[in-house]
Amino acid sequence: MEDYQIVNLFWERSQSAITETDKKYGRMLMNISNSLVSSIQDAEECVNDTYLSAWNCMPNERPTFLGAFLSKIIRRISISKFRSKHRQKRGGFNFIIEELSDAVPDNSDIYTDFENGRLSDSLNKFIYSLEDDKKYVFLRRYFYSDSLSTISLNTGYSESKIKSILFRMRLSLKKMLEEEKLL
Amino acid sequence: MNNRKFEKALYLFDEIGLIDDELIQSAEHFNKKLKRNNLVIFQRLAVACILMISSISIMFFSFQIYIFNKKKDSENIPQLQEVLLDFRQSSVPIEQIYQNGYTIKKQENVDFFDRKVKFIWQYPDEQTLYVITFENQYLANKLTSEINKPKNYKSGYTQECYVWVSLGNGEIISPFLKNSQGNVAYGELFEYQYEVLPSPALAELIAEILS
Repeated sequence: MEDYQIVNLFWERSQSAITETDKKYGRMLMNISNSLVSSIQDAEECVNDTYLSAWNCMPNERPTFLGAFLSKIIRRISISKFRSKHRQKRGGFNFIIEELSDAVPDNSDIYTDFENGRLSDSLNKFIYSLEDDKKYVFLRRYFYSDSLSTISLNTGYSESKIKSILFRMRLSLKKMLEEEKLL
Repeated sequence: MNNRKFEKALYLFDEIGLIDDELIQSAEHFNKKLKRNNLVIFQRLAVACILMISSISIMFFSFQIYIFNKKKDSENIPQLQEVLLDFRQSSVPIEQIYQNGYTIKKQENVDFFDRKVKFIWQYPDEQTLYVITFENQYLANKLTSEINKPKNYKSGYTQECYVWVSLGNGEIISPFLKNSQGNVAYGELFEYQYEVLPSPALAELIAEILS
């Protein structure tokens, strides 16, 4: 079923909206959540919460790309779930956070307004400027939290090549953030 | 790494979740787009080459293709399913076989999180799983690189047994499914319908291991 057809089911408040969504995106959502929460039971809860959230959002929202819409929701829910259960511990997706710290400018004692919304605009600009393959690798790693082996399998690149691509992109991102005085 | 830097990195990670839907969607369809671009480039290059060469060169090139296909037809390259069925019919008793670089075992359960790549198959009338565990990283990489080179699926093949590959981090794929996010399972085996056929090289690799 096409995305717009599934969205129409949500708008019509049809119960089959969830069934069709699960059929098309269930496994993908489970995979995204698993990468973040590292627990099948928690991931299943996150997937169910995502469907509930989608049900509550529509009507009102009419997403063009349903997969991307759902991916954003489950990512947010999964991160919250992991944090609420593991406040003091490091683990789960924290290894990705530690990678991303390469992209954080060194001026850590400068006060930063976290709520000004400029960062997401700059991130969009940065990612759009990347070549297709680098864009894919960046998003698979830092949005979808894919493992290096999965990215290697999908791109055909070796893991060491992917590591070096990611490292160079983190440095470029850091440079951009420094120039725009973000973070 | 100090706490402040970690907090900022965490915030950056959160903000990545707010990027445009179009970007997120583009990462879902990357493989297809790359293949389509390569096909366009290849087609244009092929047309340019054909226009440039003489009729004698075209005949020579066609003759080379004929010889290649004839040679390919005469090779006995086993399909993956045939390899696994032949293995079942062989009289090799495998409770546990150790070789240099891999182990072959019959198991009821499999550990998908032990950081070892595993090639797993199951015959239709059995619950038992047959597992090749790759201890050698070179062989594991060879297996996963061949999974990335599937052939297009043509209808008419019957599904003889299920085949999966566990990547050792909980992720499980099948060489009979296309490489896409929706075809990666986590922590459990799954049923599927054919989407692609594994490359002959993959079948040869498994045949060599099982021989």
